[in-house]
Amino acid sequence: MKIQFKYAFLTALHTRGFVFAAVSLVMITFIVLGSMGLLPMAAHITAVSLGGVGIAVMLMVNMISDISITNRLYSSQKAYLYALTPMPRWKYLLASCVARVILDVVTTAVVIIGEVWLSLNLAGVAAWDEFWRAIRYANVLDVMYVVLFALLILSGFIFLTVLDFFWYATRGSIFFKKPLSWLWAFLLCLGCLYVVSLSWLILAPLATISRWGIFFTVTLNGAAGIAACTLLILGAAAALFILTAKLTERRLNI
Amino acid sequence: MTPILEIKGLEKHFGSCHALNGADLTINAGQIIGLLGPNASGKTTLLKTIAGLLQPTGGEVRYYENAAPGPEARKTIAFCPDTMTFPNWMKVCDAFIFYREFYPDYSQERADRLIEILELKSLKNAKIRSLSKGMKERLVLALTFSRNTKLYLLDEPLDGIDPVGKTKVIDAILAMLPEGASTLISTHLVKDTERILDSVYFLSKGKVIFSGNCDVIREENAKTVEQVYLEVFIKEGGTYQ
Amino acid sequence: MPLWEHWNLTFNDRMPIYRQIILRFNRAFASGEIKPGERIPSIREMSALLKVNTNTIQRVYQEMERDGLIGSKRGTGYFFTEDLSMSEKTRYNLAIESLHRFVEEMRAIGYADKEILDELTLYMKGGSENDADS
Repeated sequence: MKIQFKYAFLTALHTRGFVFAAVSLVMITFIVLGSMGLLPMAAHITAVSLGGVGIAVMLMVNMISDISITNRLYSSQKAYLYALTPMPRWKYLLASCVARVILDVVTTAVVIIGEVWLSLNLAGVAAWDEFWRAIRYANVLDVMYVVLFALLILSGFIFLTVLDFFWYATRGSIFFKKPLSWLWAFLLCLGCLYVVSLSWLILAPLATISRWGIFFTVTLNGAAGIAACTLLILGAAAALFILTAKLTERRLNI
Repeated sequence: MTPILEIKGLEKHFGSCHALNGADLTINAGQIIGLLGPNASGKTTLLKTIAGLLQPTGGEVRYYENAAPGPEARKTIAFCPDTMTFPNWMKVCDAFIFYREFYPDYSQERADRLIEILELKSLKNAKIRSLSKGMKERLVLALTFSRNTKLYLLDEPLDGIDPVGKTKVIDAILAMLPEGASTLISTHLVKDTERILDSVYFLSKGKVIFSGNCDVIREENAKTVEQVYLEVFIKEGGTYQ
Repeated sequence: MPLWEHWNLTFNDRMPIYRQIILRFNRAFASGEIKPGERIPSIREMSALLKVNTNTIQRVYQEMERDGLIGSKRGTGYFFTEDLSMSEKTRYNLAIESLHRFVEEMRAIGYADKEILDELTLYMKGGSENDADS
């Protein structure tokens, strides 16, 4: 499993590393400049907006690179490297999922912290103790905002991972065996909902500068939150289903 | 002669396309066997099915070493696909490390000899995606034979390789085939491979339409295997389209 | 030691590959390219040198051993026979085979035996004249 994880991690790192590095670097630059009071107001607002766009872009890139990793693992031509080894493929699959989630969570955290920091800076809260005080006295809406934000991102990762896993585990039979096809279709619909709710991330920073921004944020927050929670529950259920019922070497023929 | 693999009435359908239509084939220990046929005759599908990459629609693949297809069978089968997609970050040396880590039967000694025979030494630090098609083909062959196993499946190993490279590939196959191990080579380049083949199977539309020992074929027909191949497939006609 | 790799066997001939190699060995032995008692490469080495299957070389060696052309000494490999008469015999056999082919060919294009002999004598006297005629 260690070897599988090594290659899964390296591949994940190489498929998305570049974009991550670029976005993180830009964020960190803004944070440093902002905290030193060197950013003019206009630039500050731009930075916050960019931060939101950055996260959205990153999630999109993740999705694309997830697809490419999935593709590399399962589609016949690209999967040769792994498919030909005498190791069971589900081991690599699992390693790949874990590696991606770790990478996604760590790198996204950098950008999210940056985003939060910049937003607070914009509101005139600069130092860490002030940051904690802001959290302590935050109203319900603020807390919800943060929780939903985290839920959405987390559920997205879990969902994508589970979707990969699910698609692979049932590939070949999915379109022919009835008991599974409805679940497949349902997961796909939720995937679409998730992608739509991502747009909220782009609009989120606007909340700090206009009333319409607040309106959009709250509305989309709600939608995204519902999607996120449903996805989380369903993702966990699907994962359980696969792990218990499907994950045997012979039945999957992998 | 002991068979190490037997295929009976193998069928593989992709929707309405019948890639394999009841193919029969036996591989004995210590033989080099040619799987000859024009493009789209089902050669690759047959090899992939033996390697366990595809599930047959019907028929049977019987491994004498390991009963079940899948990871167990892959332990004794080294498959050399006609193209292999490596992750972007891999250099030539990384690919060898990958093989060392994933295959218990990998032998560094064999790898070093193959690197020498196939002249890959200068490319050790080159990115795999920057290699030419011929070089990629040589690399995959080197990786395949760096394993010391029972059955080697080579899918078009001479395709896209220049004449000098072809002799090197032939050299590598002859020098690195372990005693008692067998090779199944799929190719349409009969002329280049004829001299190293023990027996041949002609595949057309997913079916074996002719097979035999090369010496016997030459003796009985007073023709080279290539000439017999051309005759058989020109008679088949349709396959050339 | 003969330069095996320069034998350059192409196997375009229709007879089985192992027979073509045996024939080449015979020729080398008859012409003195291979000396009596000389060691010949192992099956694996020979297979690499001639770029043919090891099973083919195995059959070549088997047949030549059966014919008494080569012998194997345990552990040290294969050697050509020391028997000088074998070399002579091989040479003679090859010559007869060539003659047989030549005569068959001449008969096939309508030459009577007497004519063949005349033509051959004439040819041996001055090949160039003959060439110019045709």
